[in-house]
Amino acid sequence: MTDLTLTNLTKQYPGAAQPALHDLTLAAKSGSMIALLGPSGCGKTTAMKLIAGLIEPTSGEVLFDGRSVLHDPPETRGAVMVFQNPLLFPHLDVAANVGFGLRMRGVARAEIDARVADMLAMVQLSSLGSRRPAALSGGQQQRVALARALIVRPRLLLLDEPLSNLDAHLRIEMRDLIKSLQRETGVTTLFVTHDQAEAAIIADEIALILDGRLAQFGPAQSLFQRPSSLAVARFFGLRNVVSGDLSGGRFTSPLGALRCGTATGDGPSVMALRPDAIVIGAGHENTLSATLSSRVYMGTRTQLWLQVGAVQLEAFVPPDQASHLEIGASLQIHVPSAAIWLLPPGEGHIHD
Amino acid sequence: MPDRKTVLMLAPAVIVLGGLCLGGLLVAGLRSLDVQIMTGTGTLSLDAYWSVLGQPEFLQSLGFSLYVALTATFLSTLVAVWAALLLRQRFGGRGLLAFIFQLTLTLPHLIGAIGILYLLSQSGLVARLAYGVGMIDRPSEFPALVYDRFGIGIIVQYVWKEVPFITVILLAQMQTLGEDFESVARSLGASRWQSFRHVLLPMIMPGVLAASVLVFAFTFGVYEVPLILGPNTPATLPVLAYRKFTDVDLAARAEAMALAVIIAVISAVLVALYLWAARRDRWT
Amino acid sequence: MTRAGRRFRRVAVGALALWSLLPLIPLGIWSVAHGWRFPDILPANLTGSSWVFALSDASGVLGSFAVTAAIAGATTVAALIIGLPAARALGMHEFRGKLLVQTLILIPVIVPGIAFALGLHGVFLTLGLTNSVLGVVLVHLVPALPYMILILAGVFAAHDTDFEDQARSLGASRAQTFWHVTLPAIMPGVVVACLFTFLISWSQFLLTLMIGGGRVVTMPMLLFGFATSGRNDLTGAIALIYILPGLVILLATSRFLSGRPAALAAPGHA
Repeated sequence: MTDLTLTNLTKQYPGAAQPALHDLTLAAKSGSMIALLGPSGCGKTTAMKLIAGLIEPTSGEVLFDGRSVLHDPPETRGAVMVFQNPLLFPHLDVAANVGFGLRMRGVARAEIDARVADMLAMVQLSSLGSRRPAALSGGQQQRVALARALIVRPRLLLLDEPLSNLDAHLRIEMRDLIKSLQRETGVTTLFVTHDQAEAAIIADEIALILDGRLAQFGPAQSLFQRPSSLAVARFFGLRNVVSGDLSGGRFTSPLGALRCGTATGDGPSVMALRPDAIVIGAGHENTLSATLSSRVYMGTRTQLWLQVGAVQLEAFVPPDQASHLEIGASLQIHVPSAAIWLLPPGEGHIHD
Repeated sequence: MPDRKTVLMLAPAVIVLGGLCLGGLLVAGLRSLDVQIMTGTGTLSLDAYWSVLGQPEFLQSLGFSLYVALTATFLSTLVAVWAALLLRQRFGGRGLLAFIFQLTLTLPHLIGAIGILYLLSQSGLVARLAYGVGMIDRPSEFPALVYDRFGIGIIVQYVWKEVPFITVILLAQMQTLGEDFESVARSLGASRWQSFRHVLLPMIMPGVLAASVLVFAFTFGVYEVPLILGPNTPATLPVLAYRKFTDVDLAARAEAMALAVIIAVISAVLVALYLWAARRDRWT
Repeated sequence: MTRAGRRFRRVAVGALALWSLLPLIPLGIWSVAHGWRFPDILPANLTGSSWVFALSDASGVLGSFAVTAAIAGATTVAALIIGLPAARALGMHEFRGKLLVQTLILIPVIVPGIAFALGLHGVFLTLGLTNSVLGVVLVHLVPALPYMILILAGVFAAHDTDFEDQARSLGASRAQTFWHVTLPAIMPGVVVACLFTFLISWSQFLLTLMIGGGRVVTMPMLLFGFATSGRNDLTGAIALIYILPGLVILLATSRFLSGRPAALAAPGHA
């Protein structure tokens, strides 16, 4: 299949103050599924269109298997996009929509018919070939769009928020279908989404894009647990950020001195603490005294706001551990040293 | 039945348009059959129709009107589709061209007709330029582009006037569609031409058809443009009808009415075509 | 896009722009020409005398301008009063027979003026409406009213009545809701519909000729008279005066129109 490499890819639209995409460098191994994650307007869709050849980059390279494709028009690149809106051609029936790409390539009628039938079976829509797109449900339309893309055996499949127009239960169904079809066909796939859970579930690796720049690239777990910057931590909703000073494996801050497991260089640092890392009760290290200022039951977990000195910390704990706690009560908590993640300082505090 | 309130809201408009437009057509119809509605006299006869249909000038006029309107509609549609594709792109000067098109739309036909006359007549601006580059030596050598039996001046005026009209309609339609359909087609392997031919064109076709029908109806029925730019014979049907209406021979009046009815019937066919085209504008 | 493509586009845009302005060029030159004979490409001498004459009482232009504006104004007001309720019904309600009403409204758009005006002339003659301004206003309503209704129906169709329900639920009376919520929402559309209805009446030739009978001298009647009398210089000046309101209206509404260019399709087409 196809290795995708992006080098220093930049797109500046005429008249725009900021580049839509800034210096994106990324490598997707053949057969992998990469999520492009980021808030809306961060440049994800621009990156897709650059790869598909629908727009031209201001600078940088797009390589398929090490070969630049920048001079290939979209129709010969073999990078097929599926948009958020299914965009089925309204004047063609379902089968003609699915067979569209083959027809454009001048494939023989009989072969088109056979491959369309196979493809419709794969997306479980065999009986709907003669329907008009308007007669399909949203989920069916999106499956047709997927079939229409896969039938041309693309080198690269580019999915631009394909789930976000669907209802909750259809999203899960469609997500699983995409994942299984991707495994089956082995097509290198880029999946644009603004939903971190969706990205984590569907993708092998996540490329987080913030303000047109690649903020972090790696497996989901590393982004969640080891954010490379405060901006990344903030994107994942982390609010426990405390400035302090690192010296000899101890982090000194308004919370007091905490032992940390993976500390590197000494000097001013910022601690990012995941809310689910905080444990109620004293521990053998990093025990703190706190006052409970708010408690919200959230179903599978309970959110606590804890006042520790001048600092507010957010904690997620199992509901049964928090049910007996009263607002205003004093309690002891502890933070395992392995859960403390230190970042270089510079972007200030995020006390909420 | 609509409720009372809706009926009351619609009544004034229906009465005015029905009374004046359909009423005018009805009176013309009756008078073409030699029924005098005001005096209640007359016979019921088709003489005026037989008379009109028997005149070679009628068939000439009908053919000329259809030819001019068809040619102008075809050329305008062709240029307008291309202009709309052009104006859809983002580039400097696009706003200016859009404004100029809007300006042309607001100009009365009369202005365009006189302007084209001063442009294309044998002593007009184009003839002077032709003299300037040595193509002609005197005005009479310049080809007859107005008052000519090919209706070139009329057609030029219609294309001038209708290209912006169709362009504006198609542009609005293309903006509603967006560019994503074509992006999908391109990424599925369609060339630029294929994505136009197999995706955009079928999708805008209902709009193209509807606009063309309207343009055909307009160009078929305009009076002042062929009056100023057209030949004496063949005259277009509206010019012929008005000429018969003002003829000193009162028998020609009934023939004028018959022509009015014939023009209306041809237009009615167009209304039906338009409704058919507009109804197709739904992909169900 | 390639360099050659961009160059082609520039040429194409220039050609279309020039083509669209072409008929205005000889009119403009003639209006300031002093003896512009074949084969001069440009007049040897320029003069403002055509404009001076056109704007003097002797030419009748200013009087005709006023008559045309009065007729167009009256047509617009009448079309608004008649068209507003109909447009609201068509834009916001579904009812049986809607297609029939829509078709009736489309008929004057498509059927040429000559077809109904010939019959109408006899009726107006009997009623004493020929050769009168009132008669001309009435006959102008036929092409003007459909466009007023079509534009306003579009405005009403796009109007979200939830805003009115919201206002009522916040304590506004029916009258207050209309005044503070409905009216501001539809006002831009109403203004544009009125301006373009005005232009439709302003552009009428044949209907004025037939019903006005040469007695009601609107601008197009006057302009046609000068054009057929061979006074190209005066024709040029009067033509430019004649198109002035259209230009002003276009400039005034261009911001609104950028969103809905189809509204423009109206004038000059009826």
